[in-house]
Amino acid sequence: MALVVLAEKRNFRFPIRLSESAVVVPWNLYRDNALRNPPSVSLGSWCNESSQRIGDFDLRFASQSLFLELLKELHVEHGFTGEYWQSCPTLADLYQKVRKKRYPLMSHQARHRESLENRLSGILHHAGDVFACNRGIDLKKLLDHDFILELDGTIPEIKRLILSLLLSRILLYRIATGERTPHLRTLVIVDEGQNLFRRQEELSDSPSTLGHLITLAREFGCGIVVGVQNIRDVSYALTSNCAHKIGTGFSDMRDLDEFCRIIA
Amino acid sequence: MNKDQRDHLARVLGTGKVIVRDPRYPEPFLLTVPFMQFDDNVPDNEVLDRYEKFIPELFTDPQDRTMILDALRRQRGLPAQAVGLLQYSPQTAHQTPRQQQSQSTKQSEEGSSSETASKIGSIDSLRPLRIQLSNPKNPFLTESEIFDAADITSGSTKATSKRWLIEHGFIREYKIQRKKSFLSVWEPLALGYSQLRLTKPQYASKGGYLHQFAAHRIKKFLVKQGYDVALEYMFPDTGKAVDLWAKREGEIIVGEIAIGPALARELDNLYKDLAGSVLPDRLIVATVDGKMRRDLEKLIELDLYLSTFRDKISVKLIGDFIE
Repeated sequence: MALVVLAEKRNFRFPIRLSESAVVVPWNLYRDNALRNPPSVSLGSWCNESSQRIGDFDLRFASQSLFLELLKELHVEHGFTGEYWQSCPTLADLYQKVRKKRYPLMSHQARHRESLENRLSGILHHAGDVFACNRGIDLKKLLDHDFILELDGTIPEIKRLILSLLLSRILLYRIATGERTPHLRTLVIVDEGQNLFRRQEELSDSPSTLGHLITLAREFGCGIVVGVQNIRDVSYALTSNCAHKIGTGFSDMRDLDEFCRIIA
Repeated sequence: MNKDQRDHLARVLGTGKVIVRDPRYPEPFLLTVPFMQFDDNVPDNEVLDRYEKFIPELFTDPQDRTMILDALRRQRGLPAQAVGLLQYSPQTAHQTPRQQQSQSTKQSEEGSSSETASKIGSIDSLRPLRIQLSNPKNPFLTESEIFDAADITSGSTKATSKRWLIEHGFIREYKIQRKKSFLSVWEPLALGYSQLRLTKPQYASKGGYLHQFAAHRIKKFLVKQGYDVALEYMFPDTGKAVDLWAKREGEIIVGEIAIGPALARELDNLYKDLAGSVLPDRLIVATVDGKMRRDLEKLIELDLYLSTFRDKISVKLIGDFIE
């Protein structure tokens, strides 16, 4: 069974001492081309997924659609069809494309283009090295190791993007390649899960698909352990899919009430 | 879940117990979890070695590794020499990195390393920290208490020792006011714990180190006065947790610790403390310095609701509780 740990701090390095195959990666050394599809996952479905993940940056559905449209154009321009050996455009290429795109100033598209440009510029400014790479870490190799990703020292939005992209990759890959099995093949441990599975977002107009992916991936041997500080902020999709709930150290009665509610 | 069960949970969970809900086991039973201690102190170098084997294409240029290590150190905000690479040596323990560097240069020039090393001061610079952490669960001592316990009386030795510990990333220093002077408080950092091969303990109170320091010292002070004291006490009716709760012969004291600059938040806390079914006889707010105390007193005076409780609320300095 492979272990994937998405750690908030540098306190999860001990597996290095326990296992030869364990790898600890500080976030700024992690490489992920957000536009490249995981092995066995179709390019189309990954484009949809990546537009969702970028959409988590407070992008409206219309701006997400623009992202998707330009991404597909970019893939055609680069002749990328989703094969592993092909060179894939990066978020930096997409950013350049968005910048060059011109729409009438007063049109809706111009506003969506501006939102998209701002988001991509922010991502590249904070984590250009991570996302502007052609290939990224090989997912199959990653899942053969015990992989610990350390996320301290970056802003919450980038943490969230790195985490959600990696989690989507793993889940989609397991769904695409997996046979239905009751045995656990990958265990993902998420620290500070309230950043990733937010209740507020679930109640919004465009809820994230991560919760849905977790439900699906469970059938394919992909388990998830989530640690949270404040249970009231966690999405219903997560709490309802969680078979086992462990509660300790409540400092607020409202948290305790919520815990009682979900275990009742 | 009925009210009794919920109340029982509230009592149990406040005492560090764990509740596990597993649909396969409808009846409660006692679960024993073995305690396992892991070594968290894996240096960056070891992490990079493993990562280099995993993805060699990232480390094609030898300079890359140096740059990556530097970036990791900067990210952690500690002096470069203090991060994971420092090898503790009793001969050079009390020196700053710069002194060590100049010493090694001198040694190579003079060719008499053992003689030079033996001339360097006689105090093990980790000793004050070792004394502070002799009871790892209660390291809440002031700087002067630590030096007294370490029997260090010389002013220059104290200053050198403290500077060395700070520069090497073993401690962080805070200042709190006591009357007209300031007291130094040392927060032992992760590197300090690992250097002494100790595990950082969990404390009963919450917040940063200074908050915990204040909570424990005020508790100690009140216990001496004969109070029964609880940290992070939760009022069962409002669900509000207070930093400190003390009781003696029917008299109830509630304590709030104000560390950060957000004074409006402290006022909110006072509102909540006074909104419970049990009205405390005294409500103490402990602040870091005099300026904060004055500002808070002014805000309480201006607040229509809080000013009616002026005889109950007293704003004090944390230093007032340190004997």
